[in-house]
Amino acid sequence: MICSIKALLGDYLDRELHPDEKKRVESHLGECSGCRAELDELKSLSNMIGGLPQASLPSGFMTRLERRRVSGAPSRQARPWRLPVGARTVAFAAASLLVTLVVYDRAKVMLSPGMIAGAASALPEIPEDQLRLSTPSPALSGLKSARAVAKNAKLARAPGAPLGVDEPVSDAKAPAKTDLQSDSAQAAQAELTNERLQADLRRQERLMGVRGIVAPDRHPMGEMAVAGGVEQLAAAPSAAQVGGQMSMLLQAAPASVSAGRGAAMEPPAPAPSVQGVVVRSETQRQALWSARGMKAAAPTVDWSKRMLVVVFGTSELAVEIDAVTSGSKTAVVKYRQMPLPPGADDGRAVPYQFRAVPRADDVSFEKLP
Amino acid sequence: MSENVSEREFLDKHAGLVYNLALRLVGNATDAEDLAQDALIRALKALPNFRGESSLSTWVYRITVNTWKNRVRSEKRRGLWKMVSLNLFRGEDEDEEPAFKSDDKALDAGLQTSEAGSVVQKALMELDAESRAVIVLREIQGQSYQEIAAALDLPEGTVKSRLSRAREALKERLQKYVAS
Repeated sequence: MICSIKALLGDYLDRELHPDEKKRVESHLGECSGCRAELDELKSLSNMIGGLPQASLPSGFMTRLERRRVSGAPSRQARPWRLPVGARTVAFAAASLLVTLVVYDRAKVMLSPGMIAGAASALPEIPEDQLRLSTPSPALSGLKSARAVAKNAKLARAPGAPLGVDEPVSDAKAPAKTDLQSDSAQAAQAELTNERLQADLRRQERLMGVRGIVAPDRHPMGEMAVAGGVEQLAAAPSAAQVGGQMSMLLQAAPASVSAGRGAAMEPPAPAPSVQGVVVRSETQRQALWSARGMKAAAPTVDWSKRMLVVVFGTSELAVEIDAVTSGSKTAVVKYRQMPLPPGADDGRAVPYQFRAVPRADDVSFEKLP
Repeated sequence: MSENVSEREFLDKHAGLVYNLALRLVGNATDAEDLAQDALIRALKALPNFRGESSLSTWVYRITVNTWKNRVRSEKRRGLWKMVSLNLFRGEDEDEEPAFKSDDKALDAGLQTSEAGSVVQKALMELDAESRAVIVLREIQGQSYQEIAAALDLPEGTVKSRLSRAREALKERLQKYVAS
């Protein structure tokens, strides 16, 4: 039999009953063991929930709060929708045009066959504790292995796909050398250039998508600036704290990378852009993989205990995670960056590395010399 | 009323409460800080207009929960990370899916001090959003039905029914920990 009083036990426990009802419940409890057991369960549950520990404010909370108040920076989640659609469209178009000019100029000067992103798609699944290089950097991990992987995957000949690293290409449609002289090579260059332009537009779109989830307000060294609808960090620190479920540091805008890489007489390229990302759940990983077009096999990660740290290089820089030191609350990702060797960059793929590490609230990325 | 409360006093008294509420609502420290800061900034902006129709803590809880609900709705619209159910905030009598699937629990290390704490937090995250808000305000923040109703802008009867439903769901999930 189900007692009607049972429905009142929660309110009784919460001291929310009218005095008359309270008396009725107490009287009933004296003679109904079922309701007494139910009340005990509710008390036990209440104690369990109420017994959850009270957390103290995270270190630096008030400082960050004050900084946000002063700067008026929106929250991590609100930021992606700060600009109206029209403004974002204009910004995207402007950024795309700039990148198009960069790529076109680069394609005119040099037409290197090598790139590394294609190799990543052929990488096998890696045990999480051994996660190292998802897109092998030829400068750091050896050109031969990346070349072999790309060759096996036949990515160098796939329309629109990245070329293998320094892969000799025998297909007549693809260029084999950087100094094109023949008509067929020029035709191939034009075709490839067109592919690159389109690929770069797609890449820019993906990049902007990723920027929508950036949490730069947690970046202690550079404030967020919204210029022309493209969110960038003004500073280029060698180390930066990032937080957030999925956070990213930007040391410079990709669009600012010089187009003159292949031109020996041009001035050196501006500060390179390297991005660090912290991924704390499978849904975030999937979103990142999708947003960045990452081909690497999805790692198996126990997200309740671990997270992924990802460092993206640029079209000009290879990156390598050298070490990750983890504490109970903090983790420091130490990485190196170095220029891609000539011929290893086709201007559209970005090398990256990731590693599964124990979860930590605060993650900082530190560039090693 | 508000002229007697300086911003510093307000933050000293309520920042921790808001952060803890946010922590139990979102389940991880990073999002909790983000949410708490959003709520506190909104509260500080509105503080001069606070009329004292409810207690200051109820008022700031309400701002926090509303900020959280707006986020959940926004995430739902955007499909961001798919961390929240698509069935949130439909209506109290409709069957609601858990706001967070079990594989999206994202419990931060250090958030719980014991296995039981971890299990309780996980169970909370599996509740639908409205039920979670009600149970957290009642059991953790110690709010009365009237205060919860004011904070969530719900009738008291709805608060009661949601609380009852949340307790049933939690009892089921925590069966082996709840003494019988």
